[in-house]
Amino acid sequence: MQNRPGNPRTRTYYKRKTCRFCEDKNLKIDYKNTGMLRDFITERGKILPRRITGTCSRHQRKLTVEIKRARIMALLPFTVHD
Amino acid sequence: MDLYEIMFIQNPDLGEEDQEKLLTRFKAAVSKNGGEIIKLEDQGIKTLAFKIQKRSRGRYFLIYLEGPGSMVSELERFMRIDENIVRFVIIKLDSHITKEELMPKAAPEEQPTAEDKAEEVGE
Repeated sequence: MQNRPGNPRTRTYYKRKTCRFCEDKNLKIDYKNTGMLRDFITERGKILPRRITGTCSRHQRKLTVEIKRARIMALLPFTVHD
Repeated sequence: MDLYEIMFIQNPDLGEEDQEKLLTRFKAAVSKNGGEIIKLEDQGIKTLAFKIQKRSRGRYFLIYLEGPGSMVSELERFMRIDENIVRFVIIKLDSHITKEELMPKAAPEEQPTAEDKAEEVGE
């Protein structure tokens, strides 16, 4: 069935996104771990907002710093152009 | 005394001799400023995410060291002057990280596997 905003019968429920780093305390945010950081950037290299990844504010702050460090060390791109 | 992590990218076209010289000079700069290298890891030549100084590859080094805060600015100066060091980053590690954690492990948990044994026999 199609999801129509006006129709209360066909309301869809979304799974609440949780912060990956709060769930697993052993998971460290590290600029050297580019494979993991790539989950939090777009194909163009931009940092994904919290509302999309579900990261909590504390870990998002840490992520931002580590992504920027990885960029300085040319481990991640600043931009990806065609 | 604090613990620091330094990562730098070195010119990949550097000859082996010059590279050794660079590392010895780096080590000298550390000890001269009262620091001590805990671990030095050559991560090899990697492809850069973007070109730096018209080069698309670089040799990565990861160094853990302990030393006073005054050492940091001296090392920073050293790395800026050396033209073979393309990029670097210095990070002060969290105070709850201990020196022992960073020590290069003398392979205590690595039991010789069947494969290793086979190799030894082969020799």
